[in-house]
Amino acid sequence: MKVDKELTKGSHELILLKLLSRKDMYGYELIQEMSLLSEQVFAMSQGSLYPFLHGLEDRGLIQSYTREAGGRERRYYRLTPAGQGALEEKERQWGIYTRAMERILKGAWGG
Amino acid sequence: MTWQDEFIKVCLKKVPAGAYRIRTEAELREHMEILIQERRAAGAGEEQLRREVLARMGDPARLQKAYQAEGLRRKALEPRYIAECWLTSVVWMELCWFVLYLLLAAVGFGNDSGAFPLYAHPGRTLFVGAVSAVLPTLVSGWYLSGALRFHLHPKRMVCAGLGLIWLVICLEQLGLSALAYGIPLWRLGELFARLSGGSDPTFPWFTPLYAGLLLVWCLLVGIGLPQVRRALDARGAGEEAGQN
Repeated sequence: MKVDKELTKGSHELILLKLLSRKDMYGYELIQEMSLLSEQVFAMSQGSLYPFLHGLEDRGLIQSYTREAGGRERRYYRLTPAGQGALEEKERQWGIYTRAMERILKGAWGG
Repeated sequence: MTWQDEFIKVCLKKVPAGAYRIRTEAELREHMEILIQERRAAGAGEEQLRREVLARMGDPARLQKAYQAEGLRRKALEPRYIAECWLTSVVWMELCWFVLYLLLAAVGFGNDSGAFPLYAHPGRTLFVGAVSAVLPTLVSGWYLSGALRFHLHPKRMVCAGLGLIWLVICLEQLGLSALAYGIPLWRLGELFARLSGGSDPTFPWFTPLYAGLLLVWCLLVGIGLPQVRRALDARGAGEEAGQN
């Protein structure tokens, strides 16, 4: 299912932080999880995932480390305590946003 | 060179060489290998597989910008790179100063000679002092705001660089005058008085007030120029997006 890209803009950070709050993951795994859980609504160009993850790493929200997998080194990402704080704040803001949007779309003004 | 190599090469073309580039190349390569295995397992032929993997990875020309920005941001966070930028900005300031003094001398400005002697002319002295403060710091600030624009805190970094420039200017003017007049640096009051008070002064505009204002100016430049750079970058990106 496809939605207007403008609608999903800005949500990738929250999604990635949320996914990493469940377990440590590597790039491809994150893309798969994002796509599966959102029924492909939040699929992103896979090449753009890494600069995005690296940006979160720069800001100290996630950390990366290498682990051996199948005889080769693979880079995994994990959430940091600062990332956990940012995730909670983003979830709170997202809740406010969706509730407000729902009220508008459902015509909560009683009309 | 395989099509995967070609794709990665385009994506990372503008990423500075170093640890970040190596690591990103490994991540991209592994990601593409997983995608290839997945498509192969689904029964895709080589050409179909290539098209599908490239489509999923995205337009390499667009990705190149994202990787370049991230690569430069990483570079800008390296203490060695920051120190190099600061030192280069000092060199820019010195070069600008040198050229400016040659031009002023060519026009006829001189301490107590030439068409426009500074001695006993406070207006001219102020003009030369202002020009020799504003231009070199603007040139250095412009360089710094460009070189450090990908840092997480560009304003702080540019302000720190300009703070260093302020220190160099003060030490230079005070140091040279201390040598010229044989007054040690720690007798600052005496040195300032000799600089701006007597005949044949080396830098007659250099007073404690001037040094203070110069510091304020450096900080203003350090705060302002990164914002100008950011606005110009955003405008450039907007125009580019409009063209696409």
